[in-house]
Amino acid sequence: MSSMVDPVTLEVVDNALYSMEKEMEATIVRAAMSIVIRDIYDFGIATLDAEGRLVHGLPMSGTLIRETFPLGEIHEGDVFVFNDPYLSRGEMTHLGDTQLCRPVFWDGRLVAFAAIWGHHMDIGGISVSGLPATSREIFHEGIQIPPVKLYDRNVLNAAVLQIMARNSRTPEMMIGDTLAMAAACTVTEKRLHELIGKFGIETILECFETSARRAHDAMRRLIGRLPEGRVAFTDFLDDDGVREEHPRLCVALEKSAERLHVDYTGTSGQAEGAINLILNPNRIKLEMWRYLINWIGPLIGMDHEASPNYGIFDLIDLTIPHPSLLAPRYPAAVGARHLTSSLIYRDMWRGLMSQIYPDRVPACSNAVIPTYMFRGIHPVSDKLYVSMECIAGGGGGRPTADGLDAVCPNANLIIAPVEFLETTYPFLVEVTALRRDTAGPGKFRGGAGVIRSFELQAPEAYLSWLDERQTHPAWGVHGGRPGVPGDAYLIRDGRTYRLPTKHDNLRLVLGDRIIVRTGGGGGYGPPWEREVEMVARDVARGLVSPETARAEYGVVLGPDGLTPDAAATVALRREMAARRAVRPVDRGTVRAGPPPGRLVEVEGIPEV
Amino acid sequence: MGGTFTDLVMVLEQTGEVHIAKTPTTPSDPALGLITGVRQLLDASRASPHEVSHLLFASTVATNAVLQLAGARIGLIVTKGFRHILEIGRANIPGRLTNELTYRRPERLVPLERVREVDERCLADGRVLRPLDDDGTGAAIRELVGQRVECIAVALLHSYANPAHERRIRDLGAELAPGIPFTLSSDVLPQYREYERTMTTVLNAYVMPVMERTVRGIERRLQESGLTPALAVVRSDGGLMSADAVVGRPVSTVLSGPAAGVSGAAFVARLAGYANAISLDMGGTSTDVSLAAGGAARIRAEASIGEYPVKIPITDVVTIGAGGGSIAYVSSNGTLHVGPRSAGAEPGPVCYDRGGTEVTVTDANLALGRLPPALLGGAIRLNADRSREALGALAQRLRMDLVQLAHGILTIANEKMLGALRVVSVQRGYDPRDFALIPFGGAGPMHSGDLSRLLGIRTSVIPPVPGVLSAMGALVSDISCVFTRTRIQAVDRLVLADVTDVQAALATEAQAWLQAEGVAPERRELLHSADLRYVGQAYEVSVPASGSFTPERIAAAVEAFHAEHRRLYGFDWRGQVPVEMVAITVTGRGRVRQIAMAPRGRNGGTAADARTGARPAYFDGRFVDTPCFDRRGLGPGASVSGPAVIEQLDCTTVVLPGQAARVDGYLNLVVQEER
Repeated sequence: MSSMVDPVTLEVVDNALYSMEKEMEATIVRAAMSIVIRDIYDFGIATLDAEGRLVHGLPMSGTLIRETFPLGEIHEGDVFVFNDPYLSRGEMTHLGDTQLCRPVFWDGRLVAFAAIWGHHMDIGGISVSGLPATSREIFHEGIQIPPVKLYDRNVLNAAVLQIMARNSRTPEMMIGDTLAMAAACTVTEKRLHELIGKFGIETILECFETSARRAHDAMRRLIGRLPEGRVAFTDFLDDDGVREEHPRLCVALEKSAERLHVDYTGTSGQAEGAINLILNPNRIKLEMWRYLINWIGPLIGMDHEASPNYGIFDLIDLTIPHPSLLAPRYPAAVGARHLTSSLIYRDMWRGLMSQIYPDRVPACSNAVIPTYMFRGIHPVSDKLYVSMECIAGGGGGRPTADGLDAVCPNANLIIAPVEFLETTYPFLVEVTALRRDTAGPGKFRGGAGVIRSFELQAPEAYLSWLDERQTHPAWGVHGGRPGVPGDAYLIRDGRTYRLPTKHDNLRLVLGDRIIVRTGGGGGYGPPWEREVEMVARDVARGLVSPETARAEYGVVLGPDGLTPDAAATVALRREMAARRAVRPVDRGTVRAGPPPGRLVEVEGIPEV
Repeated sequence: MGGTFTDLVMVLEQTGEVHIAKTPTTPSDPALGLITGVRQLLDASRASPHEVSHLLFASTVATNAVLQLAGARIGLIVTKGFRHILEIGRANIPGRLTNELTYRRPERLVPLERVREVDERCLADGRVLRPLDDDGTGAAIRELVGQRVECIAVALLHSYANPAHERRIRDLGAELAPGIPFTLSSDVLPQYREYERTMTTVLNAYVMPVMERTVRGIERRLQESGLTPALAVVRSDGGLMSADAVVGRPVSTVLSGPAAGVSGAAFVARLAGYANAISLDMGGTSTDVSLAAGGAARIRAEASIGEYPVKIPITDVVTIGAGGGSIAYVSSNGTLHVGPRSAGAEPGPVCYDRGGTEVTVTDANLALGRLPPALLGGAIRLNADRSREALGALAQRLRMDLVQLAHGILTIANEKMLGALRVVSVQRGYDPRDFALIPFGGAGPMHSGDLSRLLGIRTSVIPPVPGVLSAMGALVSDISCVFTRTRIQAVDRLVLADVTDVQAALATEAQAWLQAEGVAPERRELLHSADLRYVGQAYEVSVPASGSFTPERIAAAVEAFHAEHRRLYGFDWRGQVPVEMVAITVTGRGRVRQIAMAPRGRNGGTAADARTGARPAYFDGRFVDTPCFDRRGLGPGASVSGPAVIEQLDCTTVVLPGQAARVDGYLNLVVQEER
C-alpha cells in the first residue's frame, strides 16, 4: 500500500470531487428533459475507482462493467449503460433507473469511472414510468438493458439508443435524458483530467485509497461506540398489490467483536407483485453509514463531512434469507421495490437505533413516496403524454424539533408545481394543502400529510399508482403517537370509491376526480409535554383541531377557541401523565386496507 | 449602505475629481449615516448642496430586513385550496438526504394566521373557471386589516396568464383597506411556478414598508440639507431604478450591494483597459465571486436570500463560506478543514488578541509573513506569538510542521475560492485566462496573487480604495428595467405576429417606464432578448435579439441558443430536438451619466519612496526577505517586483515572486505575471 497522502492535498482533492459532482448535477438538471430528473431530482452522481468501487458521491458501483468487459475492451471515450437489476445484483434496483459509466484514462491506463444514474420517465412495461404495481415478473416491467456500450470511443452507438427509445412511451425524453447524462459524464472526465494534471496521477490514486482507509477507520470507530448486544425490529407493508396480506420485514442488529451483523431472517418470502427488493449488501452498508454518522458521530466528535465509500464494506456482515422479499429469484418483479427499500433503508434503522439512542433518533416518517402516474392522449397536442407525480407525506417527530410537514425525504423528491402540471397535462388540481390532525401527536409532533386532487379534463386517461403505510401508521416513539395514514379515492358521477394502495392502468374518464391524501409522521415524546403555546399555534393555524388539542395534547382552549385555559390544561395534563402509558414504540392500530385490485365504494366525499 | 459602514464616492463632473467618505451605518435611520457622509463630501469638495444632481445608492436595507426577519407584518391572499403554499413549498430538503434528521424550514415571512383563501380560479391559458368571489374577498381583506397588517401580498394561480382577479382584489383593497399597499404576483413576477412566484411576492411585501421609510427618510434629510438630487437605487441585477419605483418593487434590491460591487469591479477593469473581469470580494466570513464579460455582469433569473428562493433578475454572484476569518480545524478522523465556520469580527482571528482561540486563515497569512504586524493603520495590533502558539498546537495534532500547516491552510482556503471562481468562469463556459481578476474586500488582494496564478489569469487590478467599490458601482450604473412575458411556442410553428405584438407591448411598457424615470428620449435604449430551450427542458437560455423579430432574427436567435447551450453545458441538440421560445424580454435602458474620472498623470512617489522596510515572508517553499511598501506612497507609474507586500489602510496586497505590480494613471495597482 502506498504512503499516506498529506491532509491538505486530501482535503483539496475531496473538495474538488465534491464540486465536480455539483457541476455534473447542475448540468443534468438544466439540460434534462423529463420532470423526473429535472424537477424531481431522481438521479445520483459518483466517482468510482478503476475497479468500479465507490470513491465519492452517492451509492453506486461500476464493478459490473469490470466483470463484463475485459480491460482490453474498455477504452477511452466509451460510455457503458445498464439497468439490469439481476445482472447488477441490485446496484440498479429496478428497470426505471439506468446507470451510465464513463471510464477515465490517464496515460493509457484506466484510473477511474464517472458514474451517474437517473430515473427515466418511461422504460416500457405494463405501466408507465418504470414503476409498475402489479407486474408478476421483470419481463412485465420494461426493457432490460445488460451492460453495453452506449458510446464506443466517443462514437454514439445509435442502435442502442434507438432500441431504448422505441421501448419507451416517451422516446424524446429517453434520448434527451440519456444524452444529458452522457454529457455530464464527459464533464466529469474533463474535470478529473484537470485534477490529475494538477496533482499527478499517483497522488490522486493515493487520495482515493486514503479516503477509503479513512472511511474504514471512521466506520470502525462508529461501530466501536455502539454497545455490544442485539436489537431487533419488525415492520409491515400494506400489501404487494396482488395478495391480500401484509408482507413482514424483520431486521436484527448485533454487535460483537467490533463487527456488526445485520440479519433479515424472518422477513416474508418473495412477493407475487412488484415490491421485491434485490438488497445489495454494499448499498445497505452505505445507507447505514449515513445514519450511524448522524446519530453516533456527534458522540465521538465526528462531523458529517466524510463521504462514505468502499472502505466501510468489510466491517459489516449481512444475512439475507434466500429467496425472500429481499432476495427474489429471477425473474420476480421488482418495479415497486422503493416501497420496500424506504422501510429497509430508513424506517427500520430508526426502529433499531431508537432502542439504543432514544434521545437521538426520530419517529417514523410517513413518506414512502406516494406516486401517481397518468398516461393518455393530450387533447390539445394529440400526443401521448406520461406524467409522474410524487406527493409528499409527513416527517417523523425529532428529539428536538417537530417532524417536517410535507416532505419526500426518501429520495429528496420535489413536488411538482400545479401551474406546471396544468400547463403540461390535461388535469385540474383544485387543492394542495396540509391535512389537519394527520401529524402524530407528540412533545415534538410528526409532520402533516398532504392532500392533492386531480380532475381529468380529457376524454380518457390511465392512472397507475403506488403507495404504502395506509394500513400500518408511521409509528411514534417514547410516548409519541402514530401519524394518521393516507388513502386515495376516485370520485365519479357523485360516487366515491376507495382506491387500492397500488394499482396499474385504472381507466379514467372526463370529469373523474382523484383525491390523494398522504399520511402524517409519528410523534416524538408524550404529547402532554408539548409546549402549550405550540399546541395553541397549531390550532390557530388549522393543523390541529381543538378536539385533538384536548384529547391528545391535554390542552383545553378558552371560549375564543384559541387561547388555552391554563388551569384546566394543567389539571388535564396531570391526569394524562398519570394515566397514559409511554410506549417506546406506538404503532397505533392496524387499519383495514383496501383490497388489492378492486375499487370499493364508500360513503361521502373524503374531507380535506 | 452596508451593514456596518456607509461608503460614499463623489465625482465632480467638470474636473473628474473623486472624493471618498466612510461613515458608520445607522440601522435605525439609515438616512442619518448617509447624510453625514454627504456633508463630509460637500466639505471636502467645497461643492454646494444644490450642485448635487444625482444620488445613486446600493443598499442592504431589504436584504437585512429578510435575513434578520425584521420586515413588515404582512398578509397573503391566495386561491382557494392553496393556503399552505408556503408551508409545502417544493416539499424538499436542501442538501443531503439525512438532513431530514436535522433540517428546519426557515421561519415563514407570513404565518398561516394571516393567509386567506379566496374563491376564484383561472386556468393555464388564462380562461376564468370561477369568477372571483367579491364578498368573500372583502371579508378576507377586512380580517387582514383587523390583524393590523402593513402590506398585503396577492398571489393567485395562473395570474401570469390572467391578472384580472389579482387586480380586482387590489381595487377592492383600495376601498376596504385604504393606506395599506397591495402587491400583486402578476406585477412582481408574471411567470409560472406558483411557489416561486408567491415567495417572491411575499418577499416584496415583506420589505416594502421598510424600504419606503428608508427612501422617504433619505429624501427628507437631503431636503433639509438643501439637496434635491435625482435619487436612484441599484437593483440586484446592477441596473438603476428611481427611488420612487423601488418603493413599489423593493424585492428587486435584495442583492443590491453585491450587484453594485460587481458593477464597480467591471468599471475598474474597464479603466485599466480590460473588458472582461472576474470580481473577488473576500471578506471575513465569506467571499463573493462574479464574472463580467464584455463589461456586462452575468445575470440569472433566480437566487435565494438566506433560505428564501427569489425569482428576480439578479447578478450572478457565487458566495462561499471562506474568508479571512474562516477557522481551520481537524475533524476527528484526522482531516484538516477550513471554514465554513468563521471567527467573524468578534472574537476574530487569534492574532487579533480579542479572545479568539481558533486558528484562522488570517493567522496563517500572518505566520507566513504576508500580513503586516498591525492593520488599519495601527488600529489593530496583531499578536503574532499567540497566533503561532495556536497554529503550533494544531500542527502537532496533525504531525505537521507549523509553516507547512499555515501554508496548507492557505492552500485549502484558496482551493475553495478557486472552486467559486471556476463556477463563474469554467462552469459557465468562460476561459478565465481571458479575464482580469479584480480583488477587493479586506482579504482579496492578499490571495489574488495565488488565485490568479492557479487560474492562469495574467492580470489582477486592485482598485485604489477597494473598500468603496460598491459605492463606485452605484455611480457607474445605468437606469434599466426588464419587462418579460411568458409565451411558450415551438420556434418552427411560431406565429410571428403574436411574438412581435408582445414585443411591441413590452417596448411600450419599457418606454413608459423610462419616461416615468425621467430619461430623455435620446438617452434611451431598448434591448430585445428571448428565452429559448429544447422542447422538453425546463430551464431556458436567454439569447439577445437585434430588435423586433423577423424570420431572420429568429433564425439567428436559435443559432445563438445552440451555441450558448453548448458553451454552458458542453453539448447541443442542433437538428435533433426542436427549440421552443418560452419568454420574450425587452430591457429598457437609460444611460444616466458618463462618469469621466481624471487620470493622475505620471507623477508621484516611486517604489523607493514608498518602501517601508522588509520582513521574511514564505514563498515557493521557503522564507525570503520581502520588501514592504506603503501604497499611499506609490504614485502613477511606480512599479514593484515580487516578492513584495504592499500595505494600505483597508487591505494588504501580496505580490508573488515572478509577478510585478505597477500603478496606473487611476491609481489602480495592476499586478501581472512577468513571464
